[in-house]
Amino acid sequence: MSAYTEEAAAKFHLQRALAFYESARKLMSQSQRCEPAVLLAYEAMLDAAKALLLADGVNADGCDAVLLALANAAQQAKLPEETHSMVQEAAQIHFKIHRRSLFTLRPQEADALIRNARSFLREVRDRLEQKFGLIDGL
Amino acid sequence: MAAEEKIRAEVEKRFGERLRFCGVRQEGCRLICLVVVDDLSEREEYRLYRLAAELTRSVGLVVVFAPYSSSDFKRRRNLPFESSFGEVEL
Repeated sequence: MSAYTEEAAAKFHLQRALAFYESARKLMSQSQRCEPAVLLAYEAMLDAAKALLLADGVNADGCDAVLLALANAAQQAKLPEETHSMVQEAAQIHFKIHRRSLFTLRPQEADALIRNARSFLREVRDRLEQKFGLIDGL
Repeated sequence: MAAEEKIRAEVEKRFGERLRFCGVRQEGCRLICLVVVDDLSEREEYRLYRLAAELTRSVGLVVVFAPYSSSDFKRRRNLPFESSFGEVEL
């Protein structure tokens, strides 16, 4: 993928992530519907993670590929371990939802995930702006 | 040390005699770990999530924990997800 295409794809994924995040935030504040809000926030984090990886020339597809690529970046000190941990924790909560007959999602877990999604998206936006300059509309 | 052994060792170190069961099953590039512990607190569950991230970085597979308190597990057991770990004796 050329550098221009990586930049365009990274910005696309970040914009999608922000839209997912905004929907998650509204759902939580208006209806306290934890599960759909968490699913949207997790999608936001995965899209933002794809943007972050694309900005570094890594094209990861699928949630496990994204998690492994983030873990690898943290191992190589290209990314703080804390950043990878935030996305991995979201994956744990997502796993809980898919085994809903076995686990109960606590409202505070949903709140924490949405707060983490906000921090992570900010971090990704800042990194993309450092690399590509100001991003229109963000 | 194989990934499964490393996970078991970490979980045993963390919970000691309170650990009732620790099973690891691979699904694609994901390792799912069923962990049953006496009186597992929310804080300990959260720490397991942090451990999952650490282990993912070190073993090169996505580690996901399915943590239970033993009393809760006894109420919910015999569901398909758990039976995929074989017979779970507490």
